[in-house]
Amino acid sequence: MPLADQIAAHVRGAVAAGELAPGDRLPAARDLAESLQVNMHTILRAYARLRDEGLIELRRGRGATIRRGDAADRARLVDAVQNLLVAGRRLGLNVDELVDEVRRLA
Amino acid sequence: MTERPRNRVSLWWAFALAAAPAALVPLTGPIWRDRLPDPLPSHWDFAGRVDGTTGVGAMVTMLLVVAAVPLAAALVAVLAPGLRRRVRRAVIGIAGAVTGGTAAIWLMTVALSLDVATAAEVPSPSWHIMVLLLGAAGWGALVARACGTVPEEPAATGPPPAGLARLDLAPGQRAVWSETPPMPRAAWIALVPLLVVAVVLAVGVNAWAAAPLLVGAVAVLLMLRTRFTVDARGVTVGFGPWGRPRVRIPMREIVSAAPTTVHVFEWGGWGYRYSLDGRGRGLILRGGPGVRLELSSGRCFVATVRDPETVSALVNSLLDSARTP
Repeated sequence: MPLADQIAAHVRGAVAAGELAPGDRLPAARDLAESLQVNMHTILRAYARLRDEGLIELRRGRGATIRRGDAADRARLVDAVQNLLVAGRRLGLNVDELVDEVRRLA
Repeated sequence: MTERPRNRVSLWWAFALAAAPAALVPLTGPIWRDRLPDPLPSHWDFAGRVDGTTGVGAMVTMLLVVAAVPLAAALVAVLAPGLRRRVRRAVIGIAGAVTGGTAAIWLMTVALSLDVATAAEVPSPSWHIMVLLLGAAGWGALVARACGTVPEEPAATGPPPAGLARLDLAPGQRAVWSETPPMPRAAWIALVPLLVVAVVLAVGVNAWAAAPLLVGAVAVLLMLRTRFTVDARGVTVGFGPWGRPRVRIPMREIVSAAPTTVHVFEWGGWGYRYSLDGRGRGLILRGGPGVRLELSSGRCFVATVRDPETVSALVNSLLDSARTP
């Protein structure tokens, strides 16, 4: 798994487990990059991914904060979808076939 | 610890810098004496009228006495054997701030009173108070800087004791702890009266009289907003919204980490501070569970963190991987 995805997965796990609460601020990308000894763009890519998943808000000058509201439930949903995609890939199903499977079982 | 001679020289330079503003008062006194009212105004009431005066000679003597006390302490800090560099720097730096403040009071009084016939006609200070405070703080910082750098503590050797908790880290796995502890509720008990007094001063006197209080309140707010980080470089506490300034305890100085229980009264209050017995530093934002680092200097560092078990296990694991070949 790419580094940015690993970092995003750790943050997502912490949000799902309630270790990170809505309103909590993530470290500045540059500080976290120095701490983990990775490129700052790797951290920014991880943060952008978490924003696209609806887990964090990125605001200029204010850094990254956990979104208020349903961040924990969204984190669990993203986790579940990723597990679903992995299981589907193992069965040789593409996304459309996977969606059909979800509809059939719902 | 023996001081190298070069270090002692920089302490003397810092002491000279700290003493310089005090010399300004008796040196300039005779020059301006003929143009100053005698007595000089020394206090103003809420309406900005002079309600206290002091003779020129008495004021010069009083300012010199106020400056002499911290300078005597600074002299002890230069000469006394066996003191830690950090302590010397703090004492000499504070002396610089006090002498800078006395010189600023003198210059402010002269600037307001020059060529005024009687003390009662002297206007009350406004922006001068801000300049006075900033000047005093700036001079103190300059003097502290002149004291030179603090020598490195000895490096700790060997991994932490086996009985302490570790995290289950895979080889090569990188781990970081980062959190922003919430501000202590006690901060508001201090801030609310400060702001009320500031508003009263701003309405009753003028905005300049309230400005130092507002600056103080903002400084308190910034200093209580902290980010606590553990990574392979060590333990870092960053202050304010930008995480600067920051205090770092490098890995090489840390012996081990373990959970502890923090009692605020042992630290005499909240914030980043020395313990009352002087044996350690701490980031104390509440009572209750915290992490305690044993340092190679024989001192300790304590921080009130969200999950002291995980934090101390992480520190011990990072120490393991740094110290086992």
